[in-house]
Amino acid sequence: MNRHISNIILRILYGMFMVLALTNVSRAVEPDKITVYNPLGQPPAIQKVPMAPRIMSLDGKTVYLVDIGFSATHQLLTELQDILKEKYPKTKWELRTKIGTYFNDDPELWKEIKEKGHAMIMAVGH
Amino acid sequence: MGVPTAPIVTLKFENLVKTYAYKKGMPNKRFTFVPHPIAGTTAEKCREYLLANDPVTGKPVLKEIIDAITMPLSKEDSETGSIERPSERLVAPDTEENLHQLFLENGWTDGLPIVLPTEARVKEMLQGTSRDPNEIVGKMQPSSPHELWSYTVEKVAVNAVMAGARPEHFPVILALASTGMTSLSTSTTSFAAMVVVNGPIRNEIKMNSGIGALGPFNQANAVIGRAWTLLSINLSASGKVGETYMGSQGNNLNYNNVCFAENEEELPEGWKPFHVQQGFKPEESTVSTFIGWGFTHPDQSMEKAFVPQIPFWLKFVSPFSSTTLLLDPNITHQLKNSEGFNSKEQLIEWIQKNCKVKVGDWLDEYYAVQNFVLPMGRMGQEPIAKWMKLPRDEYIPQFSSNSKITILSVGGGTNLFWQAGDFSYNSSASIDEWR
Repeated sequence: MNRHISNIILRILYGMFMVLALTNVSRAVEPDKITVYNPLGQPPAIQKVPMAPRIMSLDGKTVYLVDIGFSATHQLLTELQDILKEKYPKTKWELRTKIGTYFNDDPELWKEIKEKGHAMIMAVGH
Repeated sequence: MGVPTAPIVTLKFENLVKTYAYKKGMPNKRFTFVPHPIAGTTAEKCREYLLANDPVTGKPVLKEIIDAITMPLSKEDSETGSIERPSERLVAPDTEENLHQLFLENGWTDGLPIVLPTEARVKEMLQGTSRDPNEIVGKMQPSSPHELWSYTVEKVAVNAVMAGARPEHFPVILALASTGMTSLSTSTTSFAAMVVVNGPIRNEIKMNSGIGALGPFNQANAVIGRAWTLLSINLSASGKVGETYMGSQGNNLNYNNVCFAENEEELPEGWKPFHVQQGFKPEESTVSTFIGWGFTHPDQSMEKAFVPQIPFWLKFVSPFSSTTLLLDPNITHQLKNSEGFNSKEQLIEWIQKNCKVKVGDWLDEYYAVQNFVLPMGRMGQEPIAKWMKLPRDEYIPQFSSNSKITILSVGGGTNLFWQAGDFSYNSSASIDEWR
């Protein structure tokens, strides 16, 4: 009787050993996962800016063409002005060059456009 | 401003202006695209572009321009409010192999293998400073119109780990981050950056200022320089090709950013280390940043005096730029002992007075002068406005002031070769404050 109980206990222990052994094998073949930091900094929140209301018609309106100062931009806008004058003769097309480089603000020009203009076309980088 | 606007942009900038408009809160801004470039094209070609279709949408350019200012707005076009963009602290757990792939695919690296920033490694890096991991170090942007990102000590540590830095390098990297200067400027001209370390920390962390200082032979020089590029990529979104980075050819110097320590020990008597020239004490440790495009090795005659040859060698530097001379100790000692220059300042003064450019060349031959200098003269900025009125065969200074000339000592004295470049000094920061 005692021998029979001993055999059962041995079999249970053997079974437990095999389960543990197999678990360890499966752990060994499954690659370990690790935790790392995200390297990105904090971007600011985006503040949505409503676009300015559009003009419903070009007739009788003044539209400014603004050259931001890159090479040949004036030439592109001069051509555009000529085309638009011919295609939309009831509209005034005013060509201006923003002062300084493209890094410089031009509050005087913005003031003029806001006072006298109805819309603006701005060009161009490179 | 409240005025309906139709922006015209060349094709190469499509991704840049669309992502920029989104970040500035106008995701539906109505761009019209024309072929790139406009610079250098004829009036006929410009007209052709304007009468053709937009290369992005396929719609007629003229119609798009008119529609941009006349077509009614959608509900979304008029929306207000804000969009938060939280930055996650940790990445989802994964295998090392997958994480390396993730970092690479997300554009979080410089293309080279990185050290994964595990919690243990970042914790160890943070031992290199007494600062709180949550403290804000600064803000950085790819170039002035772009948005500023902020970052903590911990985020700088994460990137320092990725670069392969050790905790003893961390105060230098924090000081570099505190300058808020990116090493990857958006500019189409492919800027490089340079970082110079001065003071006692050079020797404490075993930086190289002697033989091979500018080469891949020293851990501190290598990882501090590399860390700046990773900081720029990850802490300011610099270097996103086509969006925040437009350098046409790119610049190989961006991998390490010409990182070295000035050879203070070999400076001739009376010649001050760079940080002392900037008002720091000799016993303070500093990091200084520069921006430029590159260096060249002048092939000077060794049979003649050194200094009179400088104007000839520096002709390649645009009068728009500054210049930085990286002088080997052999040369600085020759300048002091044989040619009578008792300080860097005396040499700078000589270069400013003797390097000149003909007005006609200045007006006609330099793209950057035409785009960035002459417009300032038209606004009345002196001395540019005065120079623009001079006869074309007159001469003006190639470098408008002494502050546009930097002299640095580096090298091991094995040759009289040296380097001259078009780098401009940007700023210096205390390293000691970040220990």
